[in-house]
Amino acid sequence: MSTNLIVEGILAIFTLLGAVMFLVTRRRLSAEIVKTKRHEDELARKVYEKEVLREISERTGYSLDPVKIIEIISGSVGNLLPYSTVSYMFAGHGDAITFSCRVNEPVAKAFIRDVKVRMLASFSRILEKPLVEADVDDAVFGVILDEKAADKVRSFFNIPIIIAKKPIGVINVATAGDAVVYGIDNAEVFYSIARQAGEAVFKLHEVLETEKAKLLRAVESLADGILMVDTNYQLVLVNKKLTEILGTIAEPTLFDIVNALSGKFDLRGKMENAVKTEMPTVAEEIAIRDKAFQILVSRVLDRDNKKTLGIVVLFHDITDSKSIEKLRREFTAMMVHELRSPITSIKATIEMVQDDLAKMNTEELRRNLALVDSTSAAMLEVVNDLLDVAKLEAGKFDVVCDKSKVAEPIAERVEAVRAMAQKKNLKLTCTVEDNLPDGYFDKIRIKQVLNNLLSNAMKFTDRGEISVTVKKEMVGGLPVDILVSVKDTGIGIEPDQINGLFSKFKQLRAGRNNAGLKSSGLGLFIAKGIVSAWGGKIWGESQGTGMGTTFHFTIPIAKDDKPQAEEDVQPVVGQPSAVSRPTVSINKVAQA
Amino acid sequence: MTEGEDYKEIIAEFIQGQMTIFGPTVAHDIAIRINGLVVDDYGKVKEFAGSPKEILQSLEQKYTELAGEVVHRNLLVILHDHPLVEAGYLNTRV
Repeated sequence: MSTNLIVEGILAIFTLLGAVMFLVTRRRLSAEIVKTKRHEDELARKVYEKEVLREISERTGYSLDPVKIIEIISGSVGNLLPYSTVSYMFAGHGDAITFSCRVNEPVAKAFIRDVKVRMLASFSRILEKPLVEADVDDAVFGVILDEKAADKVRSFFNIPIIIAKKPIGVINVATAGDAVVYGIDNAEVFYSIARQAGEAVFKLHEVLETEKAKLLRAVESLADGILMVDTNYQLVLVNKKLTEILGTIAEPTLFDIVNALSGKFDLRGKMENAVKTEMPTVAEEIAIRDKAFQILVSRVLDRDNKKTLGIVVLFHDITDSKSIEKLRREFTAMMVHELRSPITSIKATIEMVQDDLAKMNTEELRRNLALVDSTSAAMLEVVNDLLDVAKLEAGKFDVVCDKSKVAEPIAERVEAVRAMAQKKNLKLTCTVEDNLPDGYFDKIRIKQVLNNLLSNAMKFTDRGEISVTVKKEMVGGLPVDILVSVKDTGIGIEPDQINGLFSKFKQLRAGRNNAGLKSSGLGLFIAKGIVSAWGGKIWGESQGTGMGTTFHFTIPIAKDDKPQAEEDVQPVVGQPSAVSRPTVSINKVAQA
Repeated sequence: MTEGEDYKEIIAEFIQGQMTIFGPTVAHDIAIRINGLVVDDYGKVKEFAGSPKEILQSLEQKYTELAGEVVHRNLLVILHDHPLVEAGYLNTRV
């Protein structure tokens, strides 16, 4: 073997090795380039994803308007992918479907229809209901269509937009060219964006739903009826109270409500008027099903731009305030009458005495003066009651409580009316339980309470008996209070009217008028204030008209052993020291 | 029809449904990435290896990542026509 051959052989081996090494290195480099390109693409996709999500967040604040989100996603497709058209489709009101197509490269009209049909099929499957092309409103914009250009979609993908588990729409990216074939690799980023945007909106939706539920609960618990309509006069909200007020079905339409108010209130007209004017419209008071309502119609404004968002109508029940106002008027009229009658009587008597003084003998003069005396005394009683009520309401009616024997003031008051009882042939008894503990009460004011109860019993009893009993009130075998009861066999009262006796306005005028007796009718109201002030209770019982009446009140048992200092500051319902003499204002407990 | 044949039909119908929703290429790309599943360009199952139930579960999961619960509801409609598979699939669905 020649040397040349050996050299050539070695050269050939080196050349071969070099070629192999070159190929290996090239392959490695190619792999690296592919890997780097993949990384770059991945990075670009991530950057794009973040950019689009940021844009959605900034431009919409993840608003609940999904169309805005769809527009942003579809509008950004060109940043990542070449395309001929990008389109979106969403469901509007009723069966209407909106189809919007942005044309980026010239395509034929048939291409657009091809896209629309494919999207309709996708959206139909997502919505799980058939959709027809006739219901679709088209909007095509961008590059001018060219009938000579491509009329068939070569590659496409659809992105369903799902928010709060509800299909909202579909985005479609389509191309007529061969340069790109859409697959999961280049489309995945759009699904990721759509999913993240949907999740963010869903979270916002959840927060809003929670807040809305709170608001609805508040609206439902309102004592007033309320409804709200949007600017298209579509009913947005109506609470249960309003359906009760109007007597409509549980979920009425605006037509049902307008119909229920027909002839009473022009709801539609008032709402239109509220839109035109900036001031709330206070309607005249109207009656609905035996109740009085004041209706307030006002605009709901956007806090930021002051744009009208809708109209709210409030149905405020003013039946009670109307009733109280009526009672107040009747009460005033009654009091004027109560005072004018004796004054008229006194004036007439004095005029008569003046005219006939020369002709009158001493007896006639004495009788007329006695009439003036008793009439003015009755009038003074009414005036005193009115003054007491005024003090009660001003919180200046003082009740001075002390530890004291209960039997003494009660026996004294009973004896004071004994002559009157005898005059009416009524039996009058007073029974005081033995070993009665001391009570905690106002020794002066208790007489006022007893005077009222006894004088009422006298007035309303023509035959039979008036009995006063004083005993311990036992609970669980232990004395808790001293119970004072005044029972008569008089005209009685229907049980459902008893509580009204303790009200300032609701005196039982009928009973009093029937008895032919007159007074301020405020005695029980004042008595309740006094008894409540020492921590007691007062109430009445009757089996009905003609069955007599029993009034009870309680006096707290004085606590001898309790340290005094800490109790001096007890409020009205507590029991202060038996030694100290706290002055108790009773304006809070005297509400009848 | 055997359970395997039933699954083949279900999987094919399921993929074809997703092709309508997402577009043929995207739905196909997802299907061919499922281990043990071989499908043609139209979503028809050519062969599968392993548990067909697990293949269907994987498919459902992948499509659900793109469109949420609507995918499951689509599958339920298909399963309804295959009662033998339906009960077994829904009872063991992860």
